[in-house]
Formats: sequence, structure tokens, C-alpha cells
Amino acid sequence: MNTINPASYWRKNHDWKNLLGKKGKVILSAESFVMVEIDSKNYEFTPASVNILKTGDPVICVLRRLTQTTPNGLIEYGISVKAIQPQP
Amino acid sequence: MKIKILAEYITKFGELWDKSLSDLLKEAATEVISKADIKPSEIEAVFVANMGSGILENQLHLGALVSSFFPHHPPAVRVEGACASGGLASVMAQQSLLSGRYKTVLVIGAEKMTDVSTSAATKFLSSAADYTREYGSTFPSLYALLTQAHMQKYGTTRDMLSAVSVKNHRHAMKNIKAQFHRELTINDVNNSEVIANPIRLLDCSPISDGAAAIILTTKQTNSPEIVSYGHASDSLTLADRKSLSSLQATKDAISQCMSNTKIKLNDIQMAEVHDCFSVNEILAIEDLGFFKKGHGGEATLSEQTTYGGKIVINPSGGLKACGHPVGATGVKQLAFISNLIRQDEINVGLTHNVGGSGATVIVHLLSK
Amino acid sequence: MLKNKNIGIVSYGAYLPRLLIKTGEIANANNSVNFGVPLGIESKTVPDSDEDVATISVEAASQAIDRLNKFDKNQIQALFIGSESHPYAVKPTGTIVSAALGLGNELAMADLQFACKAGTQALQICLSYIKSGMAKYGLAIGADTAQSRPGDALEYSASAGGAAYIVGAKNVMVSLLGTLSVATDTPDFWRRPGQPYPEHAGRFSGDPAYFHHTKLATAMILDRLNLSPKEFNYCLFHTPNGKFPKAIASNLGFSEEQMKYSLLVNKIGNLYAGSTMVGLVNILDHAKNNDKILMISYGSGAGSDAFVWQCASDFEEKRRKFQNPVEEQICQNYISYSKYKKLTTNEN
Repeated sequence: MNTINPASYWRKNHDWKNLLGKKGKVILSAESFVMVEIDSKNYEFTPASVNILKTGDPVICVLRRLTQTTPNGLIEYGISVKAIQPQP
Repeated sequence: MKIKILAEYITKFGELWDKSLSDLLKEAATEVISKADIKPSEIEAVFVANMGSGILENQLHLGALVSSFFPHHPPAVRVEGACASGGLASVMAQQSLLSGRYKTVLVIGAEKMTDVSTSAATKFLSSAADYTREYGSTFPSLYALLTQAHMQKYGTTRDMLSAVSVKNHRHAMKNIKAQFHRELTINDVNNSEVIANPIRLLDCSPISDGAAAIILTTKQTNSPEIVSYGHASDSLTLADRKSLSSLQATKDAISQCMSNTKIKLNDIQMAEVHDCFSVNEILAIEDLGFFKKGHGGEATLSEQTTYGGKIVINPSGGLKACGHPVGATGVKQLAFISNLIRQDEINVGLTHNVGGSGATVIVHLLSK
Repeated sequence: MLKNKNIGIVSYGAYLPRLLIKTGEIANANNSVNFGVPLGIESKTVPDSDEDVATISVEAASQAIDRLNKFDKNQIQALFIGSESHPYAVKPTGTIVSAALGLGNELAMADLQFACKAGTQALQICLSYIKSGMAKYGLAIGADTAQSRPGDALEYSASAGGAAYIVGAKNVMVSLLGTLSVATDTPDFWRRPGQPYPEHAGRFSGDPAYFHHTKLATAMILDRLNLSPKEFNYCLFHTPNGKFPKAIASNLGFSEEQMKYSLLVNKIGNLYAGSTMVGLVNILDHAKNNDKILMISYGSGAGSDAFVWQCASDFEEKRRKFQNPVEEQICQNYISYSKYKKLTTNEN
């Protein structure tokens, strides 16, 4: 189990708002790790659980717990991606 | 000024319970000096290649550790470039010789990876990626993306990837220092456990212990020569690469290397390339220029990269079958090719050592 | 009692985890009778391994914010989140939510706990911040990843999900006609610090607890606003199961038609602090202009929050572009009990 250090967590959380809600497309998927194009730039993510993403899937950035944590450690949140549900 | 390899030595690679990191370094240093038939005091400086001793053993300052094996305590430095640490240490050593500061130096690489759990070792290896922008990645998952890209662009098949491991295991049967002495079939690899789709267990180089050493000199000697080298970098993260179906740093490094010599690519008879995962051998043989882009898989499957084919790739068994003690690999590649030249099995050979997912590449050209 | 027609809900959002488990599956695994049947619960939501109250809150709040056109998030100056399963005992869930949403620094914030009424209490507090002028907009969230002891009756109902409301005094789509709260010391359900699961008092949770407080709060607010049950288009009572809210509604003179959209509990279980909050979302997803809604939450320990809402005359127009209504978030991803156990042990 990991315990992120507070300073590292705090530097990373400044970036969450820049990606949350942004939409993109999966360009490569190794299932446990994906490369996504968002606004013509490439990013790498661990997909949100439940999702098996394939190349070409439209995705949206969401906040998720990124790692298992110890009972007393800081919880590491971060940006992940999930499939966009098809709209009627 | 010519740079020659006075002697070379490789320890056994594998899960070496009775050997500590220090034991491995000592064995390699002692044996290579003995093979060179020189006095220890002739070593003027030491370049130690290692990636993980700080994380895995809580031991840094390896330069000082190796220096203390010598009664005269030569000046020493540790060099780190992830899995390209060995190649990089050789580059640093050559530059010290070319500057004229030294005439004879020791390049030694070692890694002790099996004292920790597999998950701790995997976590340590992932420190070669961009910790912030590739967070949550493991090396298999990054190379899985590269494999996907190659399969999508060129139609590289599962069998082609498996053919890399099959060939390298067959080559390792003749290498007594190799970690594995077990032949594989295409089906064995195809049916092994999925690690990160589409990478399977038998596509992956193992976690290994081991060391290798070479003595480089500018003194006159009838020994294999390092004719030229190339050293190139690319972005640390895959997301920033211009192409995901090619390693640009390999292309840049081979271009640099071959621009300094009259030797042609076709003269190269054998090459030790960085097959940390099957796809990386296919990428290497294409990006080094041995085969056309997109044809590396087919060439491997049709046995163009083994004895009787166009060129022998990874005669030692490569990282996959010989083993991959990270800091030792680049030095082992040089030692293996140098020994083939010394034994008159070949005249010209190449080594290709990669750090991270292709952020650092070092290529060496060796000849008689 | 807060009485004001000029403040209310400006936008809303909800989030339900995509995994569910059938109560029949729980019964089979426990080798017991299916308590889901008498409780009126067929299935319940299960949070995935990377989800918790913080991530659920961000999802719900993101939906609420995205539904507004050109909304300046810096104007949210109050953020209160109610839950029984905050990720931290000390460090508000709101801190994580505000960082993810990119809210401004001027922000009143605290975590609330009052069992299943913590979310509606958060909503009432935000409304009072608006009324007092201390905040231009408030964000109130009720969310939970409820825990239950394996084999206990609560295992058939405790589920996960949440809803978020942006409240303000401008561009109001649902006006607050009035709100009040009641609270007493009634020990029907509690959890001591460090304990993974709550304790409950069985049948004592009925008459002296749920029914008493719900009836009390309902009677008080109808009296203060001089309203009778038949004047409402919809009513919503807290749904710890599918049985209690029907019983109280009938007892108080509300019809099945008025209850129509308040029984998502059948499919999603009891979302605890998210329960009434998500229930209101479902009503709003179906309501029409000028509809009047009675909302009564209940929190064990115990207390009730009462709200009377009225949809604006242009409510339907304001809601027209809203996508992904909460009913459509109920997926068919049923999991096995062994997967459920893996996901729900070591929670928080």
C-alpha cells in the first residue's frame, strides 16, 4: 500500500480542476493503462474501475481514488477517465 | 585514439540468493582484472552502472564501494540512466579516455533485484517513467501501449511478438551465464498469463541479479575495439512522443553512431538489442535499420534474426532469456559482443541499450 | 423556520455508482431468507474500489455545474457535505471536492454528520447562507458509501450514491417556500469512532424514531405554511426501505400518485445521506412548471428536515437541456456477492 507525502499530494491537486470534466478519445489501451487525446494533447491514465476501454472510446475525466491506502495514510485522489455513456 | 576492450566478464544472471550486490560487483571486478592480466593499480578510474541500489538496498555511493575493492582506491562514479545505465557508464568512460585524462578504466554494471518482492521490484522499475505524468503506469503497461500502436499501424501479430521470446530462449541454451535454459514454443508464449494487454508473461524480461564488467583502454592492444557510439534522448513520457510505433532515440543514436565510421550497417553480423519486452526487439531491429519499418515482426517470425538469417539478434538470449539485472545489461551487451569478436566468431557487432520507454538510447559499434 | 420564496435551487445533479447487487444474491450468500422482499428492495448500488464520498460528490456537483450556462464557480461561497462515510474523520470532504471543481478560495465549509439527514441539513445550511447574504451561491451535497455488517438486515439496504444542489437567489428554478428541522435524543442507530459498522435498535427504529420525527416535521411545516397534503404534486419521505415511506405517506394523507417518483429505493437501496437528496433529483427530473413538492428527510439519532419547494413558472425551460437523469444512471451491472465483499471490506 502507498502513502503519498502531503507536499506531493498538494502539488498534484492544483492540476485536478484543469482536467476534470474534459472529454477526449482513447488512442491506445492496455486496459489497465490508457493513452487519451484531450484537446490535441496526449495524456496517460489508469482508467476508472468498471471500465474496459478500447481504442476510439470517447471518455471524460473524473476524480477517483488512485491507490489503495493505509488506514491512517493520506488518501491519494487524482484524475482518471471513464467511458462517456451514450446519450439518447 | 582507439578505444579497446582489454577484457570482459559476465557473472551468472538469475535469482542469486547467495550473492549480495557487493558480492556481484566484487566478482565482476576481480574476474575482469584477472582476464585482462593487469595489475589492479592499472585501473585509473571506475564507472559503476546501477539503477536501483538506493531504492532496493538503501545503498548509494556505489562508486566508492567499488573503488574500495582496489588497494589504490581509484576515483569512481555511479552512473544512472534507468535500464540504459550500463550503456551510459560506457559512454562516460569513453569520454574520460578521449579527454586524455585516463588510459585504462573499468566499466562495471550490477543490479540486485530479487531480495525484494516482485511487486516492490515492479514499483522500483516504474520509477524509470515520469512519476507525475505517467502515474499508475508499470513498465508492462507502457510497453503494452507501444505494442498496441505497432500492431495497429503495421498489423504485427501475436505470433510475431512470441517469435522474439522463442528465438531468444533458443539462443540462451548455448549461453552458460543465461538465467533461463528452457526452450519455448509460440503457443507457450501466446498462452501465458496476460500482464497488460496484449503483453503476456513470456513477452517480459525477468527480474534478475547479475553483474558485468569491461576494461577499456587507449593503450595499444590486440583487442576488440569500440569503433563508435551514439547517445540520444527523447521525451520521458510516451504522451509527448512524436511517434508511438517507433523509438526516435534509437534512430538518432544509430545515425550518430554510423556517421563516425566507414563500417556499414550491412557489415554488422550480430547485435545485442534491448528486448525488455518482445515489442522492443521488433522496434529495435526496425529503428536501427536492419529491417524496413513495420517488417520487424515478420522478419523475426521467418527466422531472419537468428543463425542462418540476415543478422543474429541477441545471441546471448537477450534480456528475455539471459536476464535483465538493470544496471548490468548495457555492460553485459558490450561484454558479450566483445567476447564474440575476441573468439573470432564475428568481426563486427552492435549493442543497443534503452532507458525507460525509450527516453534514453545508447548504441555501440564494435569491431575486430 | 426559514420562509422565503426568493431563494432556492439553481441547479442539481446526482451520481449513482454503476455496480449493483441483487438482494437475492445477498440472501443466497448468507444462506438466509431474502430480507429484500419485505423491505421492498430488489437491488442496491455498490461503490467501486476507486469510489468514495469525495468522488461521488465531485460527480454529482460536476453535473450540477455543467448544467448551468456560463456559471462562475467562484461565486460558490458555501460548500457543505453531509455523509455517514466521509473519507476522513478530520479533514472535510469539501476540501477535496473544492480542489477538484476549482472553486474559489472564499468558501465556508464543513462536513456534517446526522445519519441519513446530513445531506438535507447541508442543503438547509446553504440556503441560510444565501438568505443571510453571506454567500452568492451555495453547494450542498448529500452522499454516502454506506456500511453494513455482513449478515445483518442492513446489508440488504445500505448502498451508495449522492446528489448536489447549487442554491442561490438568482436564476432560481425551484423556489424554497419554507424549511424547518426537528431533533431529539432517540438512539435508534449509532456508530462509535473507529468502529467499521453501525449498531441499530431493530424495531425501535420504527415508531419512536422514523415515524415520530417524520410526522412531527411534516405536521409542523404544513401548519406553518398553511398547506394540506392534497395541495402537493409530489411528496418525498426518507427511504430507508421501500416500506416505511409508503406507510407514512398513507398515514399522513398522501396518495400513491404523489409518491410516484420517490421510490428509487426499490432499485438502488438506501443511500443514507444521499437518499432524500437523490429522491428529490428524481422528482425534479419529472416535475412540471409550478409543481409543489414536500420533502421530509429523516436522520437516526434522531431528527428530520422538512422542505416545501415550488418549481418556477419556467422550470421546464430551465431543465430542458439537462442530460443523464438519475433514473437512467441505474445500470444493469449486477455483481456477485464475492465481488461485493471484496469491494465493501476495508471501506473508509
